[in-house]
Amino acid sequence: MGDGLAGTTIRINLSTGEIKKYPTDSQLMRDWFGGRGAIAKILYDEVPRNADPFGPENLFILTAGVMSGCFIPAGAKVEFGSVSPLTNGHGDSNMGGHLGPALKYAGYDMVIFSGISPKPVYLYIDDDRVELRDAAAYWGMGSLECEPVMKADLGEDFEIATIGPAGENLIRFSCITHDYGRQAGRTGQGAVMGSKKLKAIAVRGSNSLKVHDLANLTKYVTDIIKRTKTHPNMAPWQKYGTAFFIDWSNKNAVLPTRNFQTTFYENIDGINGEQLVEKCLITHKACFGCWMNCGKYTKAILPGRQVVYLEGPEYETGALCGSNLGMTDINQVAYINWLMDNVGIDTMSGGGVVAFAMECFQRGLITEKDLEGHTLNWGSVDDTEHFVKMVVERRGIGDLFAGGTKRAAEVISQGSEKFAMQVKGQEMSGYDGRYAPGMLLAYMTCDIGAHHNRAWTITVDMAEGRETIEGRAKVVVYLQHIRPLFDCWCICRLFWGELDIEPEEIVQSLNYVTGWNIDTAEALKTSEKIWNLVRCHYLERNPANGRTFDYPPARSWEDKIPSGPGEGKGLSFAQIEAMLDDYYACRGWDKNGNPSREVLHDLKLDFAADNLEKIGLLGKPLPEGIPEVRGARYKPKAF
Amino acid sequence: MVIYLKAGGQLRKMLKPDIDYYTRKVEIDGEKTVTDILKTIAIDSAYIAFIYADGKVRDFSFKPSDGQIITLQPPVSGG
Amino acid sequence: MQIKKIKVTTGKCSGCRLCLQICAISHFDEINPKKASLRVEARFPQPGLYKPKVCIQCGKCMEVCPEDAIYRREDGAYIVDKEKCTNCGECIPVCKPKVIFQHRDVDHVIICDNCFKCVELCNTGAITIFTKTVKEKV
Repeated sequence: MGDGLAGTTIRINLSTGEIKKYPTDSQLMRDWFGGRGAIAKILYDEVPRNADPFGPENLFILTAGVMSGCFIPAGAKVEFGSVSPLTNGHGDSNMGGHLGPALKYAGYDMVIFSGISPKPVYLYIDDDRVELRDAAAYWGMGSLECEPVMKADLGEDFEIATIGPAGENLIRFSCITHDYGRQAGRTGQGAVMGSKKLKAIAVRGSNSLKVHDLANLTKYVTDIIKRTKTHPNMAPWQKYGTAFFIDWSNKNAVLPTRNFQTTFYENIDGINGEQLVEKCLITHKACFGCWMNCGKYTKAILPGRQVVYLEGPEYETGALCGSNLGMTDINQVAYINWLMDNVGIDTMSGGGVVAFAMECFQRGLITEKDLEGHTLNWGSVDDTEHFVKMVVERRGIGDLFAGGTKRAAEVISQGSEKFAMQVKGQEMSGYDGRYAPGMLLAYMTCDIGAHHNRAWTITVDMAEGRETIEGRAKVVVYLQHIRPLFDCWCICRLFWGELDIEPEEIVQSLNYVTGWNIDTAEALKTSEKIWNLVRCHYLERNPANGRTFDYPPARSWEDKIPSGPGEGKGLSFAQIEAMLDDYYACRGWDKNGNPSREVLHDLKLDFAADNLEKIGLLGKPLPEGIPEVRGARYKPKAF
Repeated sequence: MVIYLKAGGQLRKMLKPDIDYYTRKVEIDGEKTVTDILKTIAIDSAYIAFIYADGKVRDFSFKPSDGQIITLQPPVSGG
Repeated sequence: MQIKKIKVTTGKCSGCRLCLQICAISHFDEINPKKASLRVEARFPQPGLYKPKVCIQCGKCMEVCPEDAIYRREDGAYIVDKEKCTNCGECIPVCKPKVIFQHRDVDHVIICDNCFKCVELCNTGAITIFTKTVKEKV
């Protein structure tokens, strides 16, 4: 009998090369749920508040949590974490594929890196063999090129994750790539790896994992498998993945178009999911233990260019590198997807940075002179490729954009800050929030910047009113508790969220794995604790009232949507302020966006309250008190 | 003419299935577009990302034939 | 007689490895894909396909076994007698799909016993059961 954990944690000091193994702190995993939660606690406890994200004191952590690899549907994730070079706060990002389970089968729950290696290395794990090996032969290689070379060198059954030249060059929105196209894209985890001269992670494992109740778990999971086989939405998922929703976003006026200048794209028919399946698809690709097969392995064929192979474009890349860049053909979007995957930048932030630069060029804020004689026009793959290479190699103005849109806008200024579509330094996901207030609030208050993974509310906005803000805050808070649970437990939200599986069922399967015997309420409260700790950590590293960081770019209220079904729509600044007020009240934070002692005490975070108090950022006592339960699951009134 | 609508998730609750857990039977007079069929049972098509029938995505102007099964696919909640 | 075998349909496997997990759970009561009696070969970056490697019930392992530790069951499947098997591994090189495995925690070779639990769970139809008529009697 076990608890889903492999049993061992590894700490590696890259400066000295020292590798230490010790028993996994199962209490830490229990109290903080492993995955994102354990990362949050370790970063909070151990990374000095003034540590440079690219310096030796930043930690780089990877963990497969409790459920990854445990015969759990979509139990495939590995979570990476460090202080983000994009946001200067807690950063975490995860990926599917097969690396998380491999780490567990090798015998390890977590690897924590500190320091900086004097020369490029990769981590080699083969069951109990754990080594730092010379990566000179791989340094400089693109991620998608490097993986097959490493597999040929080490063995086809190794699971490999790499950074590309972007991570090596500390491009702040660099990603980590694995399994020929899965990424941990957000928060610049690839850049932190690069700063530590860590090129890759290679893992192979042959141990068995022990869970609390294998018999009941097997029966439970087998029932879920059989039930979802006939779920009506499964077949379309398997066939089309997420790319298909670009049409829906477009019809409903939330599709980012030309750097979020508008939200309806006239050339959608050239870049949508149907185009992907007809023109580019090779195979449906799954992560470990998941049969939604949402991955689409494809090829991009463009005249005058080599044929390239990639996984994608999925929804986000399709939007942010498709309509957001004015591309007109799916092969163009796929090629840009491959380009960014291979150099190793997040396609979401990458699309956002290129789009921002394109708008700067459109407005004459940067010129051909800045671009080595090249243009940077909407819809041009040539221009995009040239610009991306300037950024990755930090040539000329590329060096400025290597820091992301926020930093670039601070230097370019001339009003460009308005359309640097980011919050807290991380670029927006593929949904425009002007006609979806809850979505805008989700971006404003997400702990890692303008990312949708914590909360997605567009159908709630459609049901409750796309121009009103009532009730949105408590829904966002609830989603910000339930969705990150998947990142803690290292399972994929997509499978569990899209196929009618209730939170209680997920918690039950967690209990079969771990024996923790928790209920949904406890799960949500622990997630809320993690959320608040991350907020406290952010404020300690960026000492100013939290509200300072929670505003969207000014385009969100100054520019009404100019065209398409959302024409004329957009919130007022007063509505944005009111949404923040609501949100803070829901959270038990004061009007400055700082957590109150009362809520931190309720979450057993008194130590964090003390730390905030020392720097004058503890939230003022709330005269009305704090809500007993923060956040509420949306109950559609229509049914 | 009878057609069958299938959906999961929130859409399923909107659909009010009556044949099995996911399926509702709808009787219509003559050929109708999916948009019109949805109107007769008060489902806002904005909640539907796309229509899926016989292994293919269909337009909302698609006119199902007698006995056809139409899946209503909700939008992904982020991925 | 009729023998059931696993059929692999090219192009349908998505690499989820559920088959590997259920195989090990069913036979060893453990979560460990390396104890499964099948594998999924991943051919990337090109052509970009997965191919399940399964036992084809050819009997070559039985022919070469020096300990007579592999026998043919009534239904036609080739089965390892775990008591007799010395884990010598002589059967491994003759297995054409390369699906005979050894594991350091297991004292016999791991060979598919035709239970078809993998097929039951496969969601894409990449592995299915087909029935073959063979002339020889068991």
